Amino acid sequence: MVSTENLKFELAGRLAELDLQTKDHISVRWEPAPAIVRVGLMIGEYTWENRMAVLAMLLDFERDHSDDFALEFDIVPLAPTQTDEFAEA
Amino acid sequence: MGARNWHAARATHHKRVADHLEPTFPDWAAVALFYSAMHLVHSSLADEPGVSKDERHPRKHSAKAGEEHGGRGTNQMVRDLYPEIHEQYRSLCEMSHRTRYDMDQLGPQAYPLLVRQWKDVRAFCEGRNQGRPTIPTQAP
Repeated sequence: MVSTENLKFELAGRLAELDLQTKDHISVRWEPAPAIVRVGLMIGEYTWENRMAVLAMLLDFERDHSDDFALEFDIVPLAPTQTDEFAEA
Repeated sequence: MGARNWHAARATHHKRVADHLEPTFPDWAAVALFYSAMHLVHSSLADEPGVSKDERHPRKHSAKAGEEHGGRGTNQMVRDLYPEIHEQYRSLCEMSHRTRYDMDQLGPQAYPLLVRQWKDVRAFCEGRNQGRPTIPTQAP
């Protein structure tokens, strides 16, 4: 059974395994009708290497759930999402 | 002009746009670069044997398999049929969403790395297309 909480829990575990040594935040939206999961994954140290490591993890996650849903995702630097300017944009 | 050649021509066009934008607007160049990669992939999918019409010509970036979803989206077709370029293609796709906000933070090496990923996609798709028969667009 797909649920936002289950997906977030699983993604948090997979992200921890990457051991990026950076702050992170995960947002998940599950859209049952089109069977699409939309993930926003925010990382504190937004570098090319970290971005690609997270991207590879997300692709594995999608492949492992290909019978359940398609995945769309954004990998986002964490800091700008925590400012008032971002919240008001 | 068949679907393969039409997509290949669009891929060339979008790459020219990316090249034009890159010196001044590399963030927007990354958007054109992705759409060039997408058309390269579509040029190959158009003649992919054993695949339904809807999946040879995907209309969505992302869709789960199944007639109720109109067949797999381009992202999922690349995942399932072209795993050799899956990571590169999804990286280009993701960056086309984020580039207007975040690409600066990745530094000046980001765009050349995206071009390297685009070149992987191009080499794979052009290789796949070589000497392969075309499939009429309306074939089931």
